[in-house]
Amino acid sequence: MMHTRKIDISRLIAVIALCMPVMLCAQDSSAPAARESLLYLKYQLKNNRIPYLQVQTKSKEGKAFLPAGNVPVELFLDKDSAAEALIGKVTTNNLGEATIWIPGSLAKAWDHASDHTFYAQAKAVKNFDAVQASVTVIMARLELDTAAGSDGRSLKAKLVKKEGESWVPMPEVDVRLAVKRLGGYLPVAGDETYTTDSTGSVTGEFGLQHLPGDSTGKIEVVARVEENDEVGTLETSLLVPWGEPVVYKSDFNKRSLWATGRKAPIWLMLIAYGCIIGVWSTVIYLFINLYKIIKLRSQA
Amino acid sequence: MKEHSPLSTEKIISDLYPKKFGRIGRVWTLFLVIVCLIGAYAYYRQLRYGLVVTSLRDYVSWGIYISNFVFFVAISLVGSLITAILRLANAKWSTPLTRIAEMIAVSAIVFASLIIIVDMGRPERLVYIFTHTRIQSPITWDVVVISTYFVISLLLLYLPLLPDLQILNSHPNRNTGFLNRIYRFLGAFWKGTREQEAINNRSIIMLCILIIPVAFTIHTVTSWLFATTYRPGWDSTNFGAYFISGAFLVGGGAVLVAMYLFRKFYGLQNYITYRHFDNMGRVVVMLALLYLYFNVNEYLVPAFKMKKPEEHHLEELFSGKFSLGFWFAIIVGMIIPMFILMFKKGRRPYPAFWAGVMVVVGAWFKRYLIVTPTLLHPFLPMADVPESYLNYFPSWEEWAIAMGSLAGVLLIITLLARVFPIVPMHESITENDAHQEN
Repeated sequence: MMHTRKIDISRLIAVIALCMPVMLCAQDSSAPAARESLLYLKYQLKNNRIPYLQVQTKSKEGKAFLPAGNVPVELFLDKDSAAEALIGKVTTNNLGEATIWIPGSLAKAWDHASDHTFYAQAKAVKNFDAVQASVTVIMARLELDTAAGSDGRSLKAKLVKKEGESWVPMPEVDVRLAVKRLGGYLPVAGDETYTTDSTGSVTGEFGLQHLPGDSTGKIEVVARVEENDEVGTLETSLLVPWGEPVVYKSDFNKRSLWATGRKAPIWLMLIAYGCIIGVWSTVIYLFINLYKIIKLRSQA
Repeated sequence: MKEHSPLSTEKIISDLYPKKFGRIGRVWTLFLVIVCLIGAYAYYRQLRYGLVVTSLRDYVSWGIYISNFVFFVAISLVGSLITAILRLANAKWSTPLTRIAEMIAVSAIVFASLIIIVDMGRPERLVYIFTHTRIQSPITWDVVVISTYFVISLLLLYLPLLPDLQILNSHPNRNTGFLNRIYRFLGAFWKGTREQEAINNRSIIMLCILIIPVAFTIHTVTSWLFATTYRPGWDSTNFGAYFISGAFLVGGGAVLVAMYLFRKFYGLQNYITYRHFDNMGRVVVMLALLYLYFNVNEYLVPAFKMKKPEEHHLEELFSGKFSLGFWFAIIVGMIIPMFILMFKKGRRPYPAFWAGVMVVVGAWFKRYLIVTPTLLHPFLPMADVPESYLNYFPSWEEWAIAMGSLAGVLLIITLLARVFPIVPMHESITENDAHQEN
């Protein structure tokens, strides 16, 4: 019997040993998912003024992309570490985002070339590893103007890029023509985007009627190139008097149920104070009666 | 009083005269004082460290305190039911119960006011209600109507007491020096002249008429504190009537309990008779049916439409984590007392007392269930909040303060019963004389 049991135990150990890799694999699958630190870098230019960079840090945990806040990031122009090429240092916010403008100290380097590469280096912090990212863009300008077309109003945008010392048109690039409205972009006509022709231009008819504008009827129209591989994101806007004037009527000081105490509705005051006066007059009358009862003591 | 057995005036005075506490009375009072002191210490901690010592958080900001407030306001309505409505309806049988009802009403309304202040994180800012009054706010209406109801209830307790004070003042040897001073201060001027009686009776009738709309208003306004807030479970046009019917029920139940206890411990068998329990039991059955009707109405209509936020709220009440309390409040607080009191045997003092206890305890749970589950089910989802925000169970400080306030109400009733006759002496003598003449 003892001999049989020994064999059984050794077989059991062998089975466990064989199963170990499987068990470990099973444990692996239930272990916390590996974390990957991600760094995104975007180039943006608004109204052809000072360009800026947008940095975004994220952690990939399993299938989830979570914003990684409080990550210090250093940014460089055309070189990946030199002090003279340092654009600046930023720390991402709780959404994992940070923005930095190209400083004036780099104007000379900026004007020197027609394309630039930006380098971003995120430092390792708790829950975020050191990572790098870069983006290369061609210097470009997006111009926007209005035009009176045969069918009425239209918008005309022109995209040009820098080549040597001159600016040349950029064909075959998608441009959006839209109106900035309620935090979003409302296309001026049915088409979402227009493609630039050989002159780098697009023209879109303005088909929106009775659009609410500001108090003078002005609306903000924009031409926008979004996350283009060559030029990044460019946006140029223009105020045009093509909307309906909207005058905001404030009823803040009107008598209402939600106004301040001094602006209570008359009807409510009449009812409420009427009730209070009615009841308390009776209560006062009852106290007068009590006083009369006390006075009657002397007569008794 | 007991039918067919007229009593002498001396016997009535002797029976109804305020009595010194016996051993049980002293132990009971000491117990209440201790509970009140524990509550006061808990409130000191709340003042010292802030509302963080409670379990009140962003979502459940009205917890056990506001449940208690609604409970006290509800119970105070009994003054108008017994004293005013039954008096105006010429229900003579209710005479011995009027003083009890008014004592309950006054003490409950005092603590309803106090518990609101306790609920405030910064009680010193109460004054802003008056200095920055917004007549549009139901909170302003509530403050106005509670103070009005308190004054009226106090008058309704005091004016019918004047003839009794004359009797108490005419027996100075039976009173302690302190009580004599109180009686003289309150009623030395009452000589029982015809003019005094005429003015007093007229005033009492006026008070009885006045207190009914004010009582209806106090509880309607309290219900509007909820109903004017857009939340699942409170978004109802029916809340005023629902609250008033519930208030009358709990008030009726409280009177049944008080009747039994005073009858037993003060030996008032000749004055609070089986007939009173029988009649009061019938009243409570009617009120329970009425409140049950409003409950069905209040839950069936939203359950029929089953809007998403209401669905979650109703599920929690009917079969979720609040279901035990909910069904306890419905079955023990309404249905079982109703069945007990439906039968003549059930309207005897002892079963009626237990029916009253069930009504009162069930009513307290009902108020808790009106306040808390709704606050835990807002229209917008609760996201990115600490775990403590998602649930509510009162901290020991909250329990101590709530129990302290309940003990406070009972203490006031106990002390009032020590100082003043529980059953109106003068009215009992008058009715006894009238009975003898007949």
